[in-house]
Amino acid sequence: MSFRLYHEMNKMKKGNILMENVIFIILIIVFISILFVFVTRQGSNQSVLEKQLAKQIALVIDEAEPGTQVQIRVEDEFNKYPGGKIQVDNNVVNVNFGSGAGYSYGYFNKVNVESNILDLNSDGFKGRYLTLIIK
Amino acid sequence: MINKIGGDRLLAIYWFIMFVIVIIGLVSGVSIFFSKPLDIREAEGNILADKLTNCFINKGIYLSSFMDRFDSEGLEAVCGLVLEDKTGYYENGNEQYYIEFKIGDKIASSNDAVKSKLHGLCEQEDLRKNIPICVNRNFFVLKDDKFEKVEILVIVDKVKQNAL
Repeated sequence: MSFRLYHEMNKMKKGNILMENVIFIILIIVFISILFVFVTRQGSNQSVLEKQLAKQIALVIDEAEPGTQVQIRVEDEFNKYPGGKIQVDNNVVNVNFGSGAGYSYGYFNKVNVESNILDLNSDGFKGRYLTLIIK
Repeated sequence: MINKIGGDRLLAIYWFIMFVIVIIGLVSGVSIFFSKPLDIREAEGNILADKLTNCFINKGIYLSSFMDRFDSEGLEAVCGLVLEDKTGYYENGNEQYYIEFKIGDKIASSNDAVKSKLHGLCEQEDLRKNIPICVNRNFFVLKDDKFEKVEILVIVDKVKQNAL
């Protein structure tokens, strides 16, 4: 084997090793990205958000005294599901971010609640808020 | 040379198997975590116990009219509560909460029909499996210039929305 042929073979071998490693690293990055997307989507999917928000609102109303006004930031939820609805009526909180019936959770505090989704832009409150007026 | 290629392939298979195991573990872990409902019954029970306490105590003194009003008007009217779940998830919406109030030798409860169903489950609470949550409060209040022991028991059922 001449020196030139040996040198060429050596270069090809090095190129193969480099290519294999690059493909391997790309595959790892793709796998990790898919996993990351899966985990973040699971945590913020429609059903989880509906349950979480309905229960949070129910607890806030249960704790509140008449005359209280509460603001809950719902900017992220409504950016993700722009057609979402939140209804508070007859001791039931209903949160609906999809086309179905949404998720309902009951509260036990005997109060009248007025709820509105407002875009606020005042001190300390910037963005979309659910405003609850407890009467 | 052949041995090296074989070794590399074996290593690649080993890496692939490792990946699959890690992915299965992560996906199933995340799915199990998010499929379990958020259990807020303990918080609900504590708020309910607070409401009840504020209902019969004023500045640490027991309101003597409370028991009479409890008997005549009922707990819901006296303390401004609605102890009925109207979400439609439960056939027996009015059996999702149970409150028992004891001062001295007097005992009053919100719903006697639910008592037998829910009361016995508090002792099994260490099992914590698909059973109601019980919140206990024991303290003393001033009643007729004497300290009287008060025991409050709040049970929140709502298993379907919080535990299953």
